[in-house]
Amino acid sequence: MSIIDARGLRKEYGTLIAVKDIDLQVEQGQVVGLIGPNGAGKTTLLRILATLLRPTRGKVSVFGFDIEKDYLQIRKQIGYLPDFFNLYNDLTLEECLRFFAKSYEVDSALIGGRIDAALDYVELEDKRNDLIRNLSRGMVQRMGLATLLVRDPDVYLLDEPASGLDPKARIQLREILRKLSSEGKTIVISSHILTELSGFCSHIAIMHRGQIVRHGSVDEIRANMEGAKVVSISVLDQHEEAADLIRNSDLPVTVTDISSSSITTEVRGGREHIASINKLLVQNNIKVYSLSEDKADLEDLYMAISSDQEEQEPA
Amino acid sequence: MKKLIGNNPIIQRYRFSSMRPKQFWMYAAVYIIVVLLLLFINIGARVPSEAIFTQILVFQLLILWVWSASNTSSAIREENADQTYDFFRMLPLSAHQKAVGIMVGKNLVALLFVGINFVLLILFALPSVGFVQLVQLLIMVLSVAFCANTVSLLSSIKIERRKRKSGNILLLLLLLFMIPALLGGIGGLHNSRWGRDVGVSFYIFEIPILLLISSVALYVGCWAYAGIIRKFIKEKECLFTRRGAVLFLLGCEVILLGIIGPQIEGGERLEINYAFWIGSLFVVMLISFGAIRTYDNYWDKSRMLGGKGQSEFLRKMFAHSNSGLAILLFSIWALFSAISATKAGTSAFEAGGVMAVLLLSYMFLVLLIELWALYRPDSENIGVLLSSIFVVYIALPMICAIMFDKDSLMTASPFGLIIYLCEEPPLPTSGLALLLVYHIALCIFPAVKVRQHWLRIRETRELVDREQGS
Repeated sequence: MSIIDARGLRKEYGTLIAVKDIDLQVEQGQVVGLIGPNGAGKTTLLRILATLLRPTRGKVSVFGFDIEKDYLQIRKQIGYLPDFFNLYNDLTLEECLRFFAKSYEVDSALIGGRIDAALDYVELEDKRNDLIRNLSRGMVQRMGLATLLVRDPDVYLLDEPASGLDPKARIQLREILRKLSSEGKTIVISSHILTELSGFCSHIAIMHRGQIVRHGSVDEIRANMEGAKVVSISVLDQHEEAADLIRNSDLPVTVTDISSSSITTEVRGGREHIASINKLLVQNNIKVYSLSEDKADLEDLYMAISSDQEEQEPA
Repeated sequence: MKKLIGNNPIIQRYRFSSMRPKQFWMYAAVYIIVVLLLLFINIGARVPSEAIFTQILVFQLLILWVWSASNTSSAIREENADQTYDFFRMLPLSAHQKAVGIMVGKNLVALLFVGINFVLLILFALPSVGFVQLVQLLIMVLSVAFCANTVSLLSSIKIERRKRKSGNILLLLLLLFMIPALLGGIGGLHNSRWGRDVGVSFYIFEIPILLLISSVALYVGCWAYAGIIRKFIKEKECLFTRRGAVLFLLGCEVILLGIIGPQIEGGERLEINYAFWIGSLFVVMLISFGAIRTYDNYWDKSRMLGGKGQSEFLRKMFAHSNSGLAILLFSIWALFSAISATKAGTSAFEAGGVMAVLLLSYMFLVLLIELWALYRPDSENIGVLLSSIFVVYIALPMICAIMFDKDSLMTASPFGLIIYLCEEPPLPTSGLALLLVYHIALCIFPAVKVRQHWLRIRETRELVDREQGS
């Protein structure tokens, strides 16, 4: 059974449809990146999953609990970090964590240890007795995560957790999220900055104008992508001759760049065309020492999908 | 009880922040200075125990009714302005835990001082005030404090994110007017030997005034508490359900008629009757504001009415609308007002005519509310325009009456009409007819716009459904 199961989920604000008939299933241990430009509906979707917004239509369950009827049960088991948040400025870090631990009914005997572990996890142990108002933005963001860690939820819903952070704080945040994902926690994280998510999301859901236009593992989406593959061909010498051969062949290949070390091409269609390029060059005595298909990163996938979407929509 | 107070994390959270030694001792020092000052200035007074009792009572009321109410009202505002409200909403605590947590937690220091004050009050009261009066007084103090705290918390609950901390100006103004009234009230109580000499008729019963005040405060406080719980559970919905609106109004009407009814039978019948009308109509208006259904609500309803013909759609939308509720509330008001008019001996013709004018006047307000609800998604400032229109509608006839020295002009405003009726009855038939025509004319334009907007919702819904189907 999926931990998060949304079917036909729709959220309307008057005539504006923020989330349009979305189906989304998230399994235990998946790290799902919600990608999309501002206004795509990511925050609305996360706030619905966090039980803070009521959907206009559709059914959503988290851990099998209905988000409208059993929202208290759900709130106990999820950790949600909003896009813009602050913490109780008049509390120290320890007091704040104690408050959250008690509110979420963490066993009193465990609270002390959990606070130590959470502060250690986010590397704020030395600030334990400082007031939150004295923390920097990056520290508050990490402390926000600590308020979730202290109660050890099974699901993390993180809305643009890296926004407003400096590069160092971003790296620290990524490390924390990596650790969590390696511990098997289920994470749904939204971002419009793709590099934040590349490398540690197991799945992605690309949102565009309130809809999820692609959803699956990164590899699945990559495999399903139609269009050109980028292939780099490295030859010992005769770069120009090799490029001419490719250009003049009947293969569906376009040479996009020639450098001293490689020829970059775009190959449309299946992988047999890559094999044909190799055969063509070898038959013409070009010394090919490497031929590699560049795997598209999240950014390429997202750009390709969103430009597809733009083309499909009527003007 | 343990979950509500003893083991409530919200109370603990406020204990962390408000009981830090530096802050606590600062408050304690102010408190000790005030108490010492009160004791000091009464050295040599004729009856020192009663004087000290009165002054500590005022001090107690300021803490419980003003300071604690203001603390309570700031809780949600601070959460909102500090961007912590999402965390607060997510806390898996019951709505009761949250409500009690705020009201107790935010006032921990105040409650500590209140506790000490109660001991002092009892010590100084027993020689001069008497046990029964003291108990009645304490019940009244606590009931009104409960009422003030619940109402101020309820009025501060807003889930929209706000960037800056805005003070509750309305509450501050209210408090500003309340303090002189409070001091006057205490003076009156003192003169009436703490209520011993004053009984109030409630229907056929004679009730001590302090207990009547307590009962009314508890009635309002309990409804406000229910409102807080509803707002914490169903955040996006209006404060009153239909049933809640009707029940609350019925209760208010029963209480008001119980208090005013015996007075009507006594002295200035007409004035008291119309005071009851206006007072209870004010409650009806307040409920209408608390039960506003917004555009989103109409939009949701339009889905359920999909496929209905135009007239059936409009009929069902009207039943669902703010205007539909307004008619229901007005009917209840009219029923109780008719009883009071009968007691006052007002002629059926005059009562009916004035009621019809008031109905149209109230419908004009409701139609403005309806326009606000429907047009707000298009224009954020529509509220300013509509409230200006309403202020002009209320105030302009009165101003004109003064400027042109013609009293009948003031009848174009509902308040002016009541003043006129109290001072110069009765209103001639032609004047009443003119007023009816004037109010019907006022209502026509907003009613047409509301109807148009409902039909536009229907069209848009059909369009969206068609798009979805294809």
